[in-house]
Amino acid sequence: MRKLFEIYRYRELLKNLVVNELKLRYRRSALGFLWSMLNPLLTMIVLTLVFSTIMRFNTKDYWVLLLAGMLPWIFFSQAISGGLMSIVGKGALLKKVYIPKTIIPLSTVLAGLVNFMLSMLAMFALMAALGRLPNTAMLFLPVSIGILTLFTCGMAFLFSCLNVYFRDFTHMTEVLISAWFYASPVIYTVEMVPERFRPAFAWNPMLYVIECFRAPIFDARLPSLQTVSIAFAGSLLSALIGFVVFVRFERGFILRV
Amino acid sequence: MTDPLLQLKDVGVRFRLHFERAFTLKEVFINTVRRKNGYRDLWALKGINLDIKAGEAVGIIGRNGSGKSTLLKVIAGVFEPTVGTRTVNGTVAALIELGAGFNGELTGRENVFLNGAIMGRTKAEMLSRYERIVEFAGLKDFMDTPVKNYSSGMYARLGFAIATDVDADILLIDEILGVGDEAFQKKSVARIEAHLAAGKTVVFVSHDAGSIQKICSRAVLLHNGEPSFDGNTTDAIAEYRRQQAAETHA
Repeated sequence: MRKLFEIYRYRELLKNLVVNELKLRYRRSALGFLWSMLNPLLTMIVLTLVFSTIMRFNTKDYWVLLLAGMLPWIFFSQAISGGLMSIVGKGALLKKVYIPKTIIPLSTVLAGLVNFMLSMLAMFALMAALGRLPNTAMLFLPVSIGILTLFTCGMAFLFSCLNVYFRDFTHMTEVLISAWFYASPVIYTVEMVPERFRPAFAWNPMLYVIECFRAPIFDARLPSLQTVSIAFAGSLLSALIGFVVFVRFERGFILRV
Repeated sequence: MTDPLLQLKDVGVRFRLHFERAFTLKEVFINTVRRKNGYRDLWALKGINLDIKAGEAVGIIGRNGSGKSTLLKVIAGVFEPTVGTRTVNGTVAALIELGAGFNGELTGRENVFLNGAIMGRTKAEMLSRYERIVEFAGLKDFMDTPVKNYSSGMYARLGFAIATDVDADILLIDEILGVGDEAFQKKSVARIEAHLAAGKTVVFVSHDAGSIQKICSRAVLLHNGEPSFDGNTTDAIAEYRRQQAAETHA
């Protein structure tokens, strides 16, 4: 609890780190910050082209289904790999001045969140241009974003902490994330999974989190109460575990970065 | 007012020096299997008791490896004491190493705000101090250059200018006065004196007795991580010299 209050006390620094991270990413490029919109837009166009011509699924407007799962996934996976290196990368800073260590992975996640929101805007623009107009169920999306961010924060805390103690995670996480990607209904839907495998899939919290995005964006309906509760419970658990583990082990960081 | 601003009680810091540091799962596994746990404990600080009141200027002297910088880092909160307690009733601005809180990719201007935020200042507060900081550092023409292109003197000047401008209750300085030309050094000493005159506290680490004598009225002599003298600066320096002489003859 004291740690949460400390994050609030250092909010100015948190804001500063987030802004700097975003600024530095696009510094020295002619289009600058526009890239954070342009980049996902171009990726989406490529994905849409590939999946509507080469790998065709028998789903109408498959590309909307794909994007609705892909964008949250990209945010999640990039925040994990960014968070993974965050503490180790800021080692020099941590050794010289006191700052609450919790805000370091947090700033990585929040910078990713800003990019994610911009890419969502790009997606809505693309959808509108191709005749899929916004619907009222999309008003639920802020809740989905909240759930996803909570889940991502927990995982980023956990991985950044593990990586300080075991550098193996730098390499392991890459594989883990790509395995997790194929185990999550991002390029497919749960309905496409053979019946007998579904119970195993049901253990993946990302399934419910993605459904919270896909239901409003693709099906224009609210996700079921069950889906939302499981997604929320999973996120809360992830955040709790991540935070507790991080706070428990952060004292040792300084000697290991 | 008699409450100490900063209190260290029986503080000790232990570093574990591993012969073979296990940074990977495989190594941890192998070391566990072999029941080999190769490390040696080093107490960088032992039995430190220190009360510092508001308005004091305390010097910390000692030879290389005597624990001066570790002590400063404990005060700054970078290291947590392995044993003992640390109580600080106020804000701390630390100038521990050259460009401590700097991000090399950011410009001088951005780093001013970043460092301000590290020391708990808001953007608005830093805006009102900005001109004065740039003026003092003498870097007006370089504020839009990434600091990775700065010389070490420029780094030190900017770092010093920020840390001494944020009005922290305790200012920690580690050897930093050696950088910068004579004019800047004079300006720096004047600024530290102004800081002290305003009732603030300075803790200054150096192995150079001269600069300690110039600023501090009280000094702590560290020897192998333990305090061997605490009191009047002149006496502390005399003791320091005596210790050094004894060791050269031994």
